[in-house]
Amino acid sequence: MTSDLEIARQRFVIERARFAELAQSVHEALEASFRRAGVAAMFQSRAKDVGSLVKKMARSGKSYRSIRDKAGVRARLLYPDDRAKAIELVRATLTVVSTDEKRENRDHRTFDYAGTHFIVRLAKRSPVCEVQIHSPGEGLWASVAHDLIYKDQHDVPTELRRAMHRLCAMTELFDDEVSRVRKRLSGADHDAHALLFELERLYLGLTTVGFDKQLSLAAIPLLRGILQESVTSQRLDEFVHRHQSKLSEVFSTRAPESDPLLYQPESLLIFLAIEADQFFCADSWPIDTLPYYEREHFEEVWGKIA
Amino acid sequence: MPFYVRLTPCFFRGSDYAYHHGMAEDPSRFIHSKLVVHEVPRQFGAKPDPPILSQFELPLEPEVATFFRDRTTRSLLEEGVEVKFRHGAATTVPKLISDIFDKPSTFLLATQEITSQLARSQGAGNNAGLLSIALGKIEQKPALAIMKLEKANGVRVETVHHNDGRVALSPKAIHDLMLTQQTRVFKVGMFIKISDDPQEIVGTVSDEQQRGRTQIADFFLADFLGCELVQQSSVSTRRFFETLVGFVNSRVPEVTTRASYMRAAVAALNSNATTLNVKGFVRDHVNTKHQSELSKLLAEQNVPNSFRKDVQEIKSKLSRMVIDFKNGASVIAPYEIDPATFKLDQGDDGRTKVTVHDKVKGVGGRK
Repeated sequence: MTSDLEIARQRFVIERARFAELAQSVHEALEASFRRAGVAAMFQSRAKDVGSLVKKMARSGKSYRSIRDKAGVRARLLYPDDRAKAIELVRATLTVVSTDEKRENRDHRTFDYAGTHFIVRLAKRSPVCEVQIHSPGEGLWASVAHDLIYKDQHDVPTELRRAMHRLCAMTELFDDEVSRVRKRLSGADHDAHALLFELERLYLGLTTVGFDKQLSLAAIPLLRGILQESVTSQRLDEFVHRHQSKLSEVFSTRAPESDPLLYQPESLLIFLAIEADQFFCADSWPIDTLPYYEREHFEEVWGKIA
Repeated sequence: MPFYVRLTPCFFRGSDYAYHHGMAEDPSRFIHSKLVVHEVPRQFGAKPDPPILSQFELPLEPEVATFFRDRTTRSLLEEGVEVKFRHGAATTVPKLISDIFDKPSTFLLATQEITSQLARSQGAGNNAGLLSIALGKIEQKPALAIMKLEKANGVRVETVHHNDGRVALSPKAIHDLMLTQQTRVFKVGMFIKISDDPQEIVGTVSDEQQRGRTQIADFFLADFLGCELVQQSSVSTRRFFETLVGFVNSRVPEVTTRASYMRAAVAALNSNATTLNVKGFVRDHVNTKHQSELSKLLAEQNVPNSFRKDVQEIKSKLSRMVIDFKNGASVIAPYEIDPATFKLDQGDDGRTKVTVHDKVKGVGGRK
């Protein structure tokens, strides 16, 4: 180990906690921003391991300063189609120093990882942090392939490298199929799915608590009747926008364990119906087919009608 | 010198404050910071048992806080009436509430005194109960909620001891009592400080035990809280009736439906029940398509959720229905007329035929 590496190692041992804090702050800022915009994603953040940093310096010959992923955040999108929106959100939330759009530089004859990477700052003089945006397929690919070929691809036999590329092609196909199926489910022939996508987008903007999709798909067709007028995306957006602070309070002050049915996207549909016409909602409540949803409880939670 | 707090007449539906300011507080948005529970035994005999007062604050159990907020919301939205502090009230509760808002550190001591006041105010007829008092905020405005729960006599609430010997009602026992339906919520009061002016406190009180009888039990409203209703019963009654008449004539084109609504209102106002619950009336007597609109209109016109009936101001309007026609003719009929002898038929062209099928008793000028 050269003395430069040892100096870098010692420095990073001291500074690593600061990079961990930075990663956490970037993680929180992005997560809040994604949630507000209704972009569903799983976030991870970390400060690089001391050993990994030293090895990366040794391998690449880069200086301590030019290693830019000492702090890193990864957002794995739930839906590949949300990439453009996610990129916009990163740009709107953080100061972007550089962007590496790997999918734009791809050779049409090969298959390779195609995530979007940013180097960002939280503030003008703060250290940099790497942000990676992955589609579900890219996330899968990165987690499987990274340790196998990323670092030492020269040692991998051609046959195995070809197998890895086939795997990569499959993840690309996987993303495309997810998008295609999602688009078709959002179509007019699949009302419950289409409405769930809208509700899910808004719900995830209000809370990170997971929900039961099958329950939503069973409940939504039965709940549509509690509203006199049709539920459009615009109407839902306006409702959530208008009652943003009240809805945020609803989902932040109640424990999911003690109020599990509240933590479903269709709650928004119920609140919209109560707000629009409490009497109609009560009269048309599907009490026989949806016995577990207690209208009176949703009324209590919603409180006063504006 | 008697303590006096000016209460702006406001709060929830039907408030002047809400009407003029375009907003009203929503009890479902109450976020607790402190909650304490004391026990008031049944006040038997000349020397009744004293209240069991919690002497230190324990961490707020989220489930209890949620229960408290949900039940408070339901009670106030269904039955809540606006109240104001009464001049010269003997109780110290108004001053204690004001003190808590001004100096939240007095919360525990003040709630102990409030509980002792309740024990002094209620009689032998009242069940043993728990008094839960919570301090918090509604959209950044300081708010205090008081909930009187009654529990079965003989059910003792366990206490827990602090290291220094002080006692408090056990949070686990309270949790079990509240969430296993062993208690019933009977009376709720909520007070909100709506501006920086220390005297701007608004209040709403509900009494589920008094449904259909007096609006709020006197011992709770006057003797304990030191409050009185903001709106006089005769005013609430008149506003309700006039708003309904206005709605019927402007928003209900079907004559038979108009007559049916008016008959229902007159029957409700003339019934033996001393109070009228507006939401219940709308739900029971108004068609679904009109319920929401009428409900909103009644709120806009400052008609409280629930009010004690006083028909003095509208007595003359409650005996007979008058149907005026565009051609100048008027038909006057008692609301309780036998439908076999009096029929209204509305044609597709919007014109209405009145059929009176009975013996003529007399002919004269308008009565």
